[in-house]
Amino acid sequence: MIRLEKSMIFKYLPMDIILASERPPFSKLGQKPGTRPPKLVTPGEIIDESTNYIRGHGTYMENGNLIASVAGYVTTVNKLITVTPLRQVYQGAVGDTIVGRVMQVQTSRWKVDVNSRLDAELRLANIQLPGGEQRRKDLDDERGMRGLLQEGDLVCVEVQKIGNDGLLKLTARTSKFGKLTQGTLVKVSPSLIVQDKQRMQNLPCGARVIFGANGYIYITPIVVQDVVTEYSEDYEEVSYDVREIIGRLHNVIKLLANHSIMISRTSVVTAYNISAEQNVPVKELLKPDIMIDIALATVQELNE
Amino acid sequence: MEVVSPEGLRQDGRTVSCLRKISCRLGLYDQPNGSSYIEMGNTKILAAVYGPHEVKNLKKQQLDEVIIQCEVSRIAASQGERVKRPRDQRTRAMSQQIASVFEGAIRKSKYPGSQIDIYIQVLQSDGGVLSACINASTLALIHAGVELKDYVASCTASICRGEPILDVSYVETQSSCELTIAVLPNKETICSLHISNTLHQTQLDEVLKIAMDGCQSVYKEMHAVVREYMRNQHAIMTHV
Repeated sequence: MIRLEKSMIFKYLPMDIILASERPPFSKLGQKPGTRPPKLVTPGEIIDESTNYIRGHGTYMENGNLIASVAGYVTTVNKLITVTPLRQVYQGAVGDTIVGRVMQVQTSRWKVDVNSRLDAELRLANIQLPGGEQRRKDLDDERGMRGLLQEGDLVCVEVQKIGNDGLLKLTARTSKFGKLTQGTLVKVSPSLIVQDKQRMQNLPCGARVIFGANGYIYITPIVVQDVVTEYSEDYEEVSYDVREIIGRLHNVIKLLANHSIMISRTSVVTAYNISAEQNVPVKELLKPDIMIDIALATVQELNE
Repeated sequence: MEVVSPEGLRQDGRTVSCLRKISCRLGLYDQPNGSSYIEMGNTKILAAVYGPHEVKNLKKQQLDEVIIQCEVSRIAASQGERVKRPRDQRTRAMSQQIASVFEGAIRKSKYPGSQIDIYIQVLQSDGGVLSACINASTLALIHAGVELKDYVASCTASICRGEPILDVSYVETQSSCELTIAVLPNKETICSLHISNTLHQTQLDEVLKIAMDGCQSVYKEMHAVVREYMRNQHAIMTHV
């Protein structure tokens, strides 16, 4: 590793540079003991030659053969066969809690980027007004939509239904949904997020994490939960300690995603604790060799 | 200058039916949905796939299927003569060819109303650029998790003094034609065929045959890399 200090360009920023050839090889973190290796398929490969299966995502039928259309592992639930790829866009399921970013303000609706193949739609009628007011939205509300949510704002919403063309219709009618303030967003592949009822979690380390089913994970400081939804900006200063916790969680989630370890409350807390116990500085967590160490330790602990 | 020596060897020491060395990698970048890098001999290509995502230009939106956009650019030092513009008429034509190849391979009805962008950068070109671009895009699409009917494997072939030669380099294309085909290897169907310069009708069959065989070898190489990549990544994914 070459360490450049006070070089000509980066006068005040000591930095580490690592050659691609010196990068530690991607270690095989191995199989969970006592489990069968997953069946892996690639596009065009025949999964099964019999027709008494139901084809799920990532498969198609041709000449009586069930063929994979993505590269991933095969899961069989009764007669349903699906192939889950490592990376994909969010497919959407009714009832999922997801995190999205407002892309456009249109008449009586917002277009929200939720990592799916179409921007999702959040109707003005489907949000709760500030202060929890219950009434019909009128023209004045429509004019003041940008006051509620602007382009670039992050929102936490629920999938209400899926339209015919696959357009996701969102809703934020209860106080736990709505605009997100003060925090960090991490984007990972949606196939890495563990299905869980409780998507908003207060972690013991002192931060609140929203595991969006669409692969957008939002980390915020823990706030005393107000009952009413606010759509105002929150500029209160977050203390250094909390910022460090958030930064560490951010890097830990990146690390897990990089090594395709399923992301859930348990895996994040485990990896966080390991990195904190080893006293790894937050920024060092992004170095490839340290990433591998922490990932290995996490997998080992999860398997026990 | 002899393309094939009397001993039956070519300038770089290959036999007539020998491919150049292929090496490829998946997943170079985090930002795009999928990315890949391929080297076929001295031809080096980078590809990145974005999407499927919301259509940028609403006029082009198709309500029942996905639209595929492709953009090829060359770096200035990619070939013998300095390339003045990264994108010109030639790369635009190539982009359209590549997009049309994947029209047949991507399961378009799976993503109605969306758009898939393929960005390709030619780092070095030494014959067979189009086929290397197609192979790189296939790998990037697989990495992005886009639904494909099959791999698209592509390869070039030519003919020299009545003898078909596989995977031609830039020097070898100077004296004869260059036939590029893209096939769906598991279905053994051709989804694109392109010939530069002239090739006699009677010779087409044998050139096509050697190119088809070449595509199967290219497929095997790509398949091995994808499997290796998956084996490294998916072992852990099924944990927890």
